Amino acid sequence: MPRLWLLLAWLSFLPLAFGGTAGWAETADESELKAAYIYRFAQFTTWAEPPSGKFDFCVQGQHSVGEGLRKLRGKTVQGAPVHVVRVDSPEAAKTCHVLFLHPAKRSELVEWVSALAARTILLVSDSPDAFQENVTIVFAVEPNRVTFKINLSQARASGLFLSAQMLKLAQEIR
Amino acid sequence: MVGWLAFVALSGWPIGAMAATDAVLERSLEELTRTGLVHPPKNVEISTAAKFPQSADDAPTAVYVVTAEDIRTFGYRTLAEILHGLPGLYTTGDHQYTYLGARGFGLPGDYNTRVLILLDGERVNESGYDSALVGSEFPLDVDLIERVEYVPGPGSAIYGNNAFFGVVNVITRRGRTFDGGEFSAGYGSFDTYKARASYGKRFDGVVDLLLSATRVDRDGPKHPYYWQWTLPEQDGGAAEGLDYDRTLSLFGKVSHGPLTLEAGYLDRSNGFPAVGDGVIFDRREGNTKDRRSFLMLRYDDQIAPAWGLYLRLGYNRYGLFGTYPPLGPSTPESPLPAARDATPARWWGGEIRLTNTQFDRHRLVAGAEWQNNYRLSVRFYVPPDPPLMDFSYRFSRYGLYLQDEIRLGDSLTLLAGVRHDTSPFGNSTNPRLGVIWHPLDTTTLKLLYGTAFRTPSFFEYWTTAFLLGEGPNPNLDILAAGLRPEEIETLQFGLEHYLTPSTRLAASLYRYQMDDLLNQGYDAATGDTYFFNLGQVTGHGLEVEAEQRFANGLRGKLSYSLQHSETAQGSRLPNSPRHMLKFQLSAPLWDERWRLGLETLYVSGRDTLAGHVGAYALGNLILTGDLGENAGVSLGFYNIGNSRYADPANPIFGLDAIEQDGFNFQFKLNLGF
Repeated sequence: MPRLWLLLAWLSFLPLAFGGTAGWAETADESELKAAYIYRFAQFTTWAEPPSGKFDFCVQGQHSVGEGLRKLRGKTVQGAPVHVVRVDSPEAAKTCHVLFLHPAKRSELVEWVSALAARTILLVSDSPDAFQENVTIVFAVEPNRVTFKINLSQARASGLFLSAQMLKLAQEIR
Repeated sequence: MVGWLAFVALSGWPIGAMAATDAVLERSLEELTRTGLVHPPKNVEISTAAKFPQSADDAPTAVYVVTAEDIRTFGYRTLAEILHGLPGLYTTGDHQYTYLGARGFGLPGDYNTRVLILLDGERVNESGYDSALVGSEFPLDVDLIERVEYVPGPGSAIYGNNAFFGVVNVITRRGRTFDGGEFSAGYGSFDTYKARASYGKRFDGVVDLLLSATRVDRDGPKHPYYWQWTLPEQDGGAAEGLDYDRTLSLFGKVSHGPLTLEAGYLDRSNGFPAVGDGVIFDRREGNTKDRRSFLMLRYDDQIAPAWGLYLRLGYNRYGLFGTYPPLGPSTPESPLPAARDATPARWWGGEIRLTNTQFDRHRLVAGAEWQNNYRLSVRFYVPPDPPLMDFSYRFSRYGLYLQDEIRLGDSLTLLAGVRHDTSPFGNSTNPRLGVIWHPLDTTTLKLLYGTAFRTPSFFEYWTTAFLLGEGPNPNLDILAAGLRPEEIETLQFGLEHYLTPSTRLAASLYRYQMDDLLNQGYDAATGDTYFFNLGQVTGHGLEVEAEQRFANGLRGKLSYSLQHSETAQGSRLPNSPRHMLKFQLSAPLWDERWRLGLETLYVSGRDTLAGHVGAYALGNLILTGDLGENAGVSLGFYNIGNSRYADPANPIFGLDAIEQDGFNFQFKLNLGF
């Protein structure tokens, strides 16, 4: 068997050669990536009532996506300066343009969605239950990607128009 | 191990220098969909473990996911190559079919009846042999796979028959991932040509269409595989041009909202140079044709607040048509005619499933599944004589299941389920109980207890009954074979831990006990095969996996499996490797358009039915690149060390072990339009 082990050892050490010369492929932390997506979603969505004064990105629940969104400060979306707000009740979320939902349990998700579904708010979530519960955009995590699904009837119901670019890149559309 | 540590230590240097920056906010939406993750995520969405979408760390066992990206990076050409790279799984080939072994269990002659394989949720295991074979006989071109989910452990509590050691679900790509037409052409060793034409598109944002056709023509190796036959009059054992493999596969899928209609077809013609003792080696007749087709309609949606409905209706056909060199004494001067058999099977079936989520701590799933095998036929004849065997059979199976996921707290979840299955081949009730606990943000513990079963297949019944009966009998009472379902009881413990955000460790420890194992008996004098319920088999093992990623897109996975299984008499099972070591590395070259995939597989020595085959190590090296928007190339070198190794064989081949491919390559060009 010495030949086998030699081969195995060789293959295992091969990466060393790449350690120094390896190329570069864009990677990101999952939360940063989700925050970047949310920023692009905001740019590719048209609100029935265009944002005026400021553009509110809201975050519900404990999620580091808020830190990623805070890096948007100083930028504008559709001409309005970005504000990042943490919200803890559906009441407080009424002025949000985009709301990221990260509920601790399903009943919380249902509560938020039913309270805000009729408002012109782009609801985004990464909970596995969210697509069933009519959240407009839902992230799905792949082993090496983050993808998103779109609930088009919910978008229409909320008075939101999503661009063709978003529809083209969504993994799934309902 | 030393190599791995060195890899972690030395490849790590770019982390500090090239940490991900705010640049991600500058990427376009399209670029974001192509951005890799710097940390192995724990919340990968999966749906196979409990029949609803959930985060992988909430599943009751480790779930292994292989994506389209992995398939491309590691140059996988068959489902067998995909599964061989996973912890605890190994494949065995005999140049006719490729079989799957799991957790140290892969008896030669077994048609892979102990792992349930699904294609978009529809059972691939056909009704004639209960087989779901994983080589070129798998009905889908791997280029059309979006992802493969493998859930190790007992699955009968929701999937019923054959979910014995685990469940593999192959999920197909959506038409939108092609966004137009694609033509793929490949050439490789052993005169292998591959051509695929696909068209996929999403229309008006709602209707998704995928159509694809693949043709693979492999002439086969020219060097001698069958070293048992080395007499000069047998061409020194070389069977030139007889190990061919030709497949045509078609696939189509159209979905609109919650509705999906899909269909697939495979026609495969495979040549083999030898089939059993006493045959004239190197005769040209040896050939099997496999034909598999399916049509499936699926509906999956929320029908009322807190109520989800899933419906699936499927129609399936499988046929095996074989031509075999004569089994009796035959000489080139006065040859006996070749024998033929045909075992076409047709069935339809479906599943209805309701999910209720109105209680905050519960997710209830209830379902029913049925399968009507309305035509199973067997015909065996040696022209021009009348058939030696000619009969048909029909039967139905039913299954009912109930499952509840109970959230006991923020970090503790229970998954409890039970399923009852009934068919003329045996009834069985199988419970499953899983506990999932997240004591820390970085740590998950999983405990799973469950039973699973497998009924004797139609093939196992009739071959055994035929030996008991006399002559061709259209009314053969196959149930007289008196076989019982085999059962397995498994306890497994899983641990997943993140050493650092980019270093993931996972371990599974399992123990199983099988009762009434269905074992193949072989009468060398007559060449007859039959089945009987053997006593108990016990097994235990360990599967460990380490995954490491770097900011520059370099990713590596190393897994080790230790497995041991033995009969009540204390004898080890054949084709059961004790150790397996698997290593996969994916490295960007220059920029993100070029990537190098490196895979090393080590499988320790295995007992055959009469002897032993040695350990082997395989190294594969694959280079993939994008040549602009619409063109991609891949160049793969397989078994680069040209390891000479053999797999244990089914005794009907009259061989104890069959040698596998040495060094080979494949070049592939994809063009989009």
